[in-house]
Amino acid sequence: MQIEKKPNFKGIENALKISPEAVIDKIKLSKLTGRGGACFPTGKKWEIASANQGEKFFIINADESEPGNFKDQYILKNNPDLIIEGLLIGCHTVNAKKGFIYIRDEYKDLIKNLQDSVNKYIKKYPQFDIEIILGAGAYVCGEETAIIESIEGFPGIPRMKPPYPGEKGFQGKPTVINNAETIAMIPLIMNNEFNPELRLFSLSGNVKKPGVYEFPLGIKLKEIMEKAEPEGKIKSIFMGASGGCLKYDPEIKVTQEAFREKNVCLGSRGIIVINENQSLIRMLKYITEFFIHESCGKCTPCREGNARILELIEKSIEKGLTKEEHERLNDLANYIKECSFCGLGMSSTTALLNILKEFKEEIKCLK
Amino acid sequence: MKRLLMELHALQDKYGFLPKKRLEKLSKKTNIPLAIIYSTATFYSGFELEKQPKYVIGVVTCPSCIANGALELIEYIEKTLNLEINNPNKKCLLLKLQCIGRCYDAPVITINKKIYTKMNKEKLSDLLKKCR
Repeated sequence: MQIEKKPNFKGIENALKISPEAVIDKIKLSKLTGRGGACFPTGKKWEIASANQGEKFFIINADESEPGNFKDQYILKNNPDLIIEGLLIGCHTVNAKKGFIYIRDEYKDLIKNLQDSVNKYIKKYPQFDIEIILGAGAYVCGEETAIIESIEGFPGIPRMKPPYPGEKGFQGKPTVINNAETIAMIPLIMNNEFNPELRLFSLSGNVKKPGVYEFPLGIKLKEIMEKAEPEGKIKSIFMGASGGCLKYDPEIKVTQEAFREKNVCLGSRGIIVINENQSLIRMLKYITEFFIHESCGKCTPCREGNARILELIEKSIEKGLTKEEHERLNDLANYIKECSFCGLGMSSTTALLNILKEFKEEIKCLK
Repeated sequence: MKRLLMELHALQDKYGFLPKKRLEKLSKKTNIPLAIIYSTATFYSGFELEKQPKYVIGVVTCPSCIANGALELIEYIEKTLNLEINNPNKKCLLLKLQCIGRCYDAPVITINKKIYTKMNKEKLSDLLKKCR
């Protein structure tokens, strides 16, 4: 896997030899996009922050909290140097003196390893400062402005955008926020060892060989499943909790575009395999509970809408829904998708909408 | 000065929850208004404001864990300890937990935040002996 290559200070040394503009050009040329799911071009993000003057900050988002995702954990565990070296290249390029790594509380056992790596790098490059911040169990802090609020010591409630963090971020200063996998690619780019087609996938669920794998985009879903070795006949795959539920199609190509056509989001590529013994409505109940638990409460569609959806799902499981209730379930799912304030709410009903369309028989209705 | 989240983590690691008096002291030490400290402390599910029962058992109920039998584990714990979810007795509290990123070793439970993976009834039976 390319993610296992040790950087050994080569990437940062190569970056320090050239101008920040040349580093940005190299990243743009590599076609690197954000690996947290949003796919924003990384070079462009750095360029925006770079163009702003004054004090700047850099934040690495390692608050990987999407169910079924553990690829960042894999990098933190096996090759933290790649993240630290990428962060220092980022700080150098946008002229930020301070970098934060925001890591989820449940990855506490990886902090010693990460801190050792930080110490090793700061000893060699004392002009930079890196601080590790431990999250405290809030999925919404994966949202870039919520993570800033959290580091500032406030509840992780997303801010109105614009202004985007590249203009006004941490303490109102220009801030770049990159996912841990994205930043780990930077030293590889500087060393000309980067393959832009490869992505990390987290595979779990009803499979014999769960784990982190590296595949090229465009691979067929059945080829991924062959590696994971499904247990039983596959019914569907969930792309985490927010990416939706895809009816199993062995021939589908694993790309953003192909998945989008099925109203599913490839996101951060956490694939949860579900076999025919599982009830999808039961999965939905717990996915909805997840979003109720994780909603920050700022906007009504997400906060109240998901609570109403849970009531309807529970009624479908216990008794069955009337025709009106079934329609209301569909309407609510669409309202929440269209009217929520941030990505958490907007994506909270993706799986429900997929199941309403592709697995009608799973939602019990009264006759 | 440490960031507020890290201060709160340090208190929780020391006391097992965030005692009111300690938060008042923290407010004085940092000049952060107590109301702000409380708004942060109550927002994050990782912080507790009350002393917890001796054993807090969490079962992860995200898709990978459910696909691998998490709901059956909840039933088993409820029956073995005569306990309902979110309804503690003097010794134990049983909770549903959101994903903690160990999906590759599902199903996963925690006891007092210690993570136990690839759980089954046999392993649970041993673990629960001390909780009875």
